[in-house]
Amino acid sequence: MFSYTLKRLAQTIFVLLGISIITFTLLQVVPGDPVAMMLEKRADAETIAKVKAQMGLDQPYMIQYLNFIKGAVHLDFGTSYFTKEVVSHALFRCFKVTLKLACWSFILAAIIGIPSGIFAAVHRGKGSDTLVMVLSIVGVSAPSFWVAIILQIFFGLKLNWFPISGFDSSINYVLPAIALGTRYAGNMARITRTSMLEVLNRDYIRTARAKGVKKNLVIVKHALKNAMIPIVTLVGTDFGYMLTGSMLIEKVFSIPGIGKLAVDAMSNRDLPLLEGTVMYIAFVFVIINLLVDLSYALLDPRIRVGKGVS
Amino acid sequence: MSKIFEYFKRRKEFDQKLENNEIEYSSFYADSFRRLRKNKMAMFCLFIILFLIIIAIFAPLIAPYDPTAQDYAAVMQKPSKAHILGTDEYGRDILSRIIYGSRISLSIGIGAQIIASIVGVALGSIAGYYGGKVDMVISRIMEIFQSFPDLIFAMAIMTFLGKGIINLFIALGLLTWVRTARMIRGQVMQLRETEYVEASRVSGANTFWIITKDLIPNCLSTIIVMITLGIPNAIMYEASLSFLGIGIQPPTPSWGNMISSAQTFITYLPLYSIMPGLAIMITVIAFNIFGDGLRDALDPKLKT
Amino acid sequence: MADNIIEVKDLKTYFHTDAGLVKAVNGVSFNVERGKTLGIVGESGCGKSITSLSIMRLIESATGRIEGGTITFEGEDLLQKSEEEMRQIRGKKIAMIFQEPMTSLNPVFTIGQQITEALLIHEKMTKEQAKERAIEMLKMVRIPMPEKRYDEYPHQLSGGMRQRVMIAMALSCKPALLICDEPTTALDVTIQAQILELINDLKEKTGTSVMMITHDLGVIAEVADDVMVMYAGKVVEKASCDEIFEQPLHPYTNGLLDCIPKLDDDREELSTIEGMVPSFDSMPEGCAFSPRCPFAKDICRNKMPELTQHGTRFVRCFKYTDEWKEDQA
Repeated sequence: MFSYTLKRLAQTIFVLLGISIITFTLLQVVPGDPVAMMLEKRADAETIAKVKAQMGLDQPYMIQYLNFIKGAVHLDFGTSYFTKEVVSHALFRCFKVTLKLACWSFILAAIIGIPSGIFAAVHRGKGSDTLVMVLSIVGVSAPSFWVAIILQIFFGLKLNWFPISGFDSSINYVLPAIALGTRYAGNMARITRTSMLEVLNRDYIRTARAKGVKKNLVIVKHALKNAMIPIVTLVGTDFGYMLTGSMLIEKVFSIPGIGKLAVDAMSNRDLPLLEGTVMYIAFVFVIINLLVDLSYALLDPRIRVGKGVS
Repeated sequence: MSKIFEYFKRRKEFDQKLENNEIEYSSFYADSFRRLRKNKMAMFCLFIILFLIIIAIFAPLIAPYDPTAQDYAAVMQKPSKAHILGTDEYGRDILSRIIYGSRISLSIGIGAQIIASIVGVALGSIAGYYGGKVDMVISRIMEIFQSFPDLIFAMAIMTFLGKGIINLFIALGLLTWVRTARMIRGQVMQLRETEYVEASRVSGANTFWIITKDLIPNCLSTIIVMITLGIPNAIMYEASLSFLGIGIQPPTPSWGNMISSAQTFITYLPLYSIMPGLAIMITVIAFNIFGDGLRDALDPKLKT
Repeated sequence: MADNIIEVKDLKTYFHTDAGLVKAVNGVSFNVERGKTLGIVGESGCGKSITSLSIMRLIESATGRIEGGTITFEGEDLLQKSEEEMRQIRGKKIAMIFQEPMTSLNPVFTIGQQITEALLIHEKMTKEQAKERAIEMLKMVRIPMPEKRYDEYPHQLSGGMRQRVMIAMALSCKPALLICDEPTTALDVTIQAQILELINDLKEKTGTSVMMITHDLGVIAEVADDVMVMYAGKVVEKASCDEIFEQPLHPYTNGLLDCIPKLDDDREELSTIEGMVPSFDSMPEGCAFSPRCPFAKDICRNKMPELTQHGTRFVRCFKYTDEWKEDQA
């Protein structure tokens, strides 16, 4: 377990470095001079050069990159060109919002998806199984932003049950969480069903029943605990997707989350902010994947306890 | 025309003979195709896909209006005889824009997947065949690409490349090649130890020959399935990016950017946002179900 | 009048598959005497495993159904019992161990948890009492350092040890009948001998009756008191172990015994039984073994022989009936 953790940690650091190189290269070498864009008036070459030097944008690649990395490690990405807000402040502010949205969405998706998957697996081949599978295919195939708009139209406007924008109170999160959550509920149902079906076929399930364990208990205790291992990992990465792919829902509901921050930074060519958001979101994604992998090792005794003495 | 009839008749006879155990041998693809034909849902979805492709190709003949023709006299009209789905904020016919939008979605979906497959197969087979250091380097690169959250990565690439449809192809290709590469790498690793690859090597074939003639044709069914199942993903990405304003720019009609424009008008003309989304959903479902059916037909052992 | 722990009469278990009706168990009858071991032998697919699963009412497949017969255990017909009543019998009165010890234990629970589970379900015990009994059982199956093993996971044990754990688990509630479905097939030959010896020993100690299902006549010779030979879903011969080995009656049994190479036999080739077990959709009209039988006559191919009694033995073969001599073909 320990060596596995170390290996994964080393790999994570390597991956983060790689991501930083790609991010930096893609964004710093942007065609269309950000400085010229920033200086709204038609500035002459001299002013541009002066501002560039000020910002350190005229230095060679390696030096710029090292500065970038130094800053990144301290989560210091400078100040936004446009809003003049310190980038790290903006990141934290917006990430809190997105985190709240992702958590609600995840809970919703898990509550709907996982039991549906178990139900479908246990009733395999019957009508209810097909129904669950059809619904999950629809859930996965409908674009999340489209579902969000439809929810807005029906529940927000026609029925007026929920607000369609804003983010101050919890009720604002209901529709967005449903939009984001149902999309992943379908995925979770499918994964749960597949994993349960595989486990229910195993010999130890037969042994448990031969011991006289009640059928429902066999499903919940013997089968689920084994099935959970792959489910948790796949479902965990779904949480990562929810956190890092929220920009679509955030745009529909005008929620000031980190996704929206990234999109705005991109349209404004706001270099520090853009670099900051991309690095931050990528970082979060990588960390979640790491945690998910480690949890897999924790949950499976074969990895956790190791071979031991036979 | 009569030739087509004859072909169908012969095929039916062939099937009958196989059923009655009169003939035993049949090629791998013929077997797979038969299995596929038995899967009614998958065949239904195949027809939907072909239908969509026909619409895309013949859009100019099918669409009632030019999708970019603006008509300020007929702005934001509710559905009528003249405009079946109404008009948008520039007076353009929504139905025509949806029909033309299929061109964008299908061409980007299929095109991006082909790019991704070429890159994926190339890198995957090289990594799988050579192993060792080459494999290590390529695998690390694959890890880095896979560790980037999808949409953010696409955004970063589009920022770098600039807007435009070719750039969108490249961005989506870069986003999805890793999955194919992983699968091909795995398969090549299994196949390279087989005896007939050994035989090729012994008879003096060089590496390029072995990879292209021996290994890749055996992965063909995997490649086909990955392309088919990857197309709906690519279509979703394109729609999402266009929705955010990073993908296809108006006035070119994309289902994604139509939904984005429609946002402002959901109170007045909800149909404007609903219909393009429906188009996306139908396309994606059709490709997903057909792709699943194709995979089951080509390799029944993988079936759940 | 023998004291039978279980009496199976005319058991029929069919599978209604897409490809046709599979009569996996087709009119099987036998008894297991108290304190004795009944060996059930036959090739793969002859229905021996399905027979034991039918007794436990664990036919899980959607297409499988017990179509008829009676299974009398402790004076009651198991096939008439409700699921809940069966559940109370499983593990407590009738226990079963399976072929693959590698996969028959749940990988995410410790050995101790799995053994005590049966105890806690069926007996009124506290957790501590169950733990004590579990460790006792581990000692009984001769696992060294049982206290340590109690907290270990299945993957930390070898195949032979896992099978011992299975036996400990099965016997923990002191069942009257232990069904062993090919328990040694997946194990090394030396471990095989140890496990069989263990089962024999425990049988003496606890008085449990045993049903030993196997395709290996060597196993039968080791442990069985009585033997039942199955072929294509039917019983073809029933006799005591000594009788079977001394003088097999049914041609199939004869063939099986012939297949075992003998040390003192100076032969060039291994002998086999010609042909293969017929698939369910190409069952011959008469005796299922007739296509492969060196003695087959027309009557064998046309009519299914009945199970007839000869002294203390039973055999399903026309050779031992009057009709045989009449048929010259």
